[in-house]
Amino acid sequence: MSYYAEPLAHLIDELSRLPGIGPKTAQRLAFHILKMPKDRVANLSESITKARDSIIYCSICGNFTDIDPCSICRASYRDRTTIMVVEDPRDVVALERTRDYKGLYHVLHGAISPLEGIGPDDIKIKELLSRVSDGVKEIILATNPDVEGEATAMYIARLLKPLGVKVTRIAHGIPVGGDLEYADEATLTSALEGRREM
Amino acid sequence: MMFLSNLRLVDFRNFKELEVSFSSGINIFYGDNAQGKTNLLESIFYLSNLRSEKSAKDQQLIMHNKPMAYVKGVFDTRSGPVEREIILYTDRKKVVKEGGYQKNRWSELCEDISAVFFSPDDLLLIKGSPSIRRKYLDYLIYQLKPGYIRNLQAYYRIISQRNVLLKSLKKNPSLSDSIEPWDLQLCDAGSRILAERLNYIEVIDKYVHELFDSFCGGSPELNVKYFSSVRIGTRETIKRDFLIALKHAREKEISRAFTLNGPHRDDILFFLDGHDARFFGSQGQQRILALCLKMAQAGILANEKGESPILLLDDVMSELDFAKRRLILENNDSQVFITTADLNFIPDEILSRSNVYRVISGSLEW
Repeated sequence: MSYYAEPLAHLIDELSRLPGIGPKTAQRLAFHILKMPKDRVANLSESITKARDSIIYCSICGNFTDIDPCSICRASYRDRTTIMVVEDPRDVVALERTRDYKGLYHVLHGAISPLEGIGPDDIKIKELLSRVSDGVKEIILATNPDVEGEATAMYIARLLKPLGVKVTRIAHGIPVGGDLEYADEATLTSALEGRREM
Repeated sequence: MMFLSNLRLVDFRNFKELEVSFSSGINIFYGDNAQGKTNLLESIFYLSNLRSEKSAKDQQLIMHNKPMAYVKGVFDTRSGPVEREIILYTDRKKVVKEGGYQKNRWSELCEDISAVFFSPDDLLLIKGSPSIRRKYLDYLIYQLKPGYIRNLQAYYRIISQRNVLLKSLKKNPSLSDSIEPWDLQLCDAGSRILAERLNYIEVIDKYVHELFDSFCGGSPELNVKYFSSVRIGTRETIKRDFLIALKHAREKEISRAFTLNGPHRDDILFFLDGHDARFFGSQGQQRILALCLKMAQAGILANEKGESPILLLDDVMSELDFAKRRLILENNDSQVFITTADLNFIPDEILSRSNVYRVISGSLEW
């Protein structure tokens, strides 16, 4: 038997399917929504529908956008000679927060993982290759520093080599502002291997 | 010197509730079979090393039909007493506390605390499959260099990814250029593992050789050798030769859908006067060899960490002759726990300086 009235149970059920939301959080959110003013609730549901309906993939970089091409690909002030390759749209957000990177992006939407049945053709690698033309000078590979991200970076690097473009890989090592003594051994080893002369 | 001064168990295996103090020297648990002697050693091992020696799952350590088990120990260490608690749950991850605070990273725990478990099953180190010997070596390296486990985890992840890819290559040969990134990563992680193992096998050989001599009087001569599926050398040459070996084995690997070369296929072998101890050693020699491997582990840990591990000897005495029983416990500044069904197995002069506890169906008398 359910403890909730049917529409409420349905709402909790839907909320709990979201990532990071367990049954308890779903219940809290649902009760909060019930107490919200009607217009706020309408706003919320409308923005969910609207986002889902209007957000598409950018036909150039593969990032989420409402206007194709996306604002980054359209921006005239961005450096068109550099493309940063990432696994996920969230990585673009993280990198944009730095405000230091002025180039373009390419979102792969995944990494090569034979275990999960994801091969090179299942992520947007072909699309990346078609973007490498005369104007592009450097491709920065910023896939995750795990086994799958590394394999993806290596695979792409090998495809790009014959095209005569500079291919770089982001460094891995000690987090900035972190204490050396708290870094784990694997990170320290990798930082040591990537050391540079001063 | 590090030792366990106090132990408290609740619902751990067959111990409903137990609180007991130990001496820094030799502690003996004696009693009939199936009273809980080994469970006591296991609780001490678990507390020290945060893993179980025998059963794979934490849940099996909890008393039947109980939701949780509790293990607490007070260790006397160089930096004062350390109180460590472990709470095991049937349905959740275990919680480890030190000094009353929960620790989520093992690296935050007191690193002076460790234990080595000796059991009659150690014979499998000689007679069992290669994976048992690789585990022995990998665990020793992990105890000294915790970061080693990352290499192992990455390596095995690469192997499983690569094996799946080999399988699909069989059906679809056009994918063949997608294997290179996995080959390169395999060689990188594999060469790290191999180089580290070769380092420590040399140390182990030295220790085991010396220990075996002291037990057997110098004859036969014992040697420990690492058998690698990749040509041995420096890390750089290993990496290079590993890659060449993969290229040579490519067709065979595709037809079997399995990675045929690398540290996951290696073995450690023991030679007595040049003959493979698995086939030419007597049962007695094999037992002593297994014992020496564990003693070498303890010796290397003591030497590199500057603190002797606790020795847990589960029913090891009955399998040795009198002179050898004394040898184990001589010149030893570790805290020792021994289980035996019969106190006659313990040499008198050792018994006279030991604390003796009688184990009767999940409780202790002393």
